[in-house]
Amino acid sequence: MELSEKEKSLECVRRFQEGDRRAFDELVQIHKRKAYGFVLGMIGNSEDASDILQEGFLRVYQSLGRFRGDAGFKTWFYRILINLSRDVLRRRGRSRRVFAYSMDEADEDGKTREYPDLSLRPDDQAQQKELDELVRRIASGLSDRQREAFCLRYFQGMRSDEVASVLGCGVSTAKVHIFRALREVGRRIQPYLKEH
Amino acid sequence: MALCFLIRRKLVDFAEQNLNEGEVRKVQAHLSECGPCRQEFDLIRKGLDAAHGHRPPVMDEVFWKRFDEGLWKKIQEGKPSFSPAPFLAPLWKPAAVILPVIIVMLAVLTRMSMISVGQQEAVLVREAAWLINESPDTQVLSALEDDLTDEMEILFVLDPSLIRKIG
Repeated sequence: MELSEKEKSLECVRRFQEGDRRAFDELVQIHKRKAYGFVLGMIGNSEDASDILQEGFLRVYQSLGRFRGDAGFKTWFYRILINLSRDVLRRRGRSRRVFAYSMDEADEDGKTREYPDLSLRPDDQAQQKELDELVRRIASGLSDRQREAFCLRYFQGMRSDEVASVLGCGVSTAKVHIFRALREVGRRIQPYLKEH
Repeated sequence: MALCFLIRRKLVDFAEQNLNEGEVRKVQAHLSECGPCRQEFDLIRKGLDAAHGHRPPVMDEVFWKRFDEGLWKKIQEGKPSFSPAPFLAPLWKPAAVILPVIIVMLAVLTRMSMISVGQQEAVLVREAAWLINESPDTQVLSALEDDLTDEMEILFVLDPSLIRKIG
């Protein structure tokens, strides 16, 4: 029987707590790709996103022995990532700068290069890429809470109650953040939709 | 307006088709007659289309190989590569609240100790009066007389004729 992502994570946590250090690597492999998309949406900068994700995993490694699993691994891990992202944004002076982070141009050595989706035609690929970057850019311009709720809900596919649990607020508050974030994204994407 | 408030709370669930049939009918009926809510719903729908149309970034294996190497290097070093915030940053907000409270408390305590010093003096005077079997009022009067005598002595030193005049 195939284990769900949640069950796999908890199994890895249990093994790690019993002394199997390789279980941590499995945990990283399970979560790193989705978590990277989340942090990138939060921060809007591929270099910082990679640093934050590494830092998040390092914190997990250092405190996984004490993790009791009450909140669920994913909730705990994403709380860590949100706190680290907030710290980075605070260090940027709370500026609402929007990062133009075309990842194809980010590094000359290609270390943050994004793979093209081969299932799409080249013109579709270009359009999809443009939309992806636009949505991430709009998301990085939202207020902290709205951006966090939006990224958790739509980049991570979490339910409203899971979003509430990560943000440490009530479900209705989380829903209000999601509502406002969507309204803002809709408002900001309108001019782009009129152009196309 | 109250109805608008209630309907707007349900617009995201309505757009994501998470409402039951009765609620759907209510929202549809309201949207058909309320322009501002329709506008709001239109924005929500556009936001949702954008959110659902967005794909997570797919990074190549070279990126992840470097990522894993960097992560294990950090784990072996065993310390965070960056401190999450400057050392004092988490402290200044609580300090801004606690400092005025401490100052007020100190002021109140100092005042209270001054009062208690005064009360202690009164107790001492009463005790002294009891010891010499006099009422505290008599004690105060005799203290006044002592003061007057002292002043007269000073006057005599300064100008003896003045004392003779006073008698």
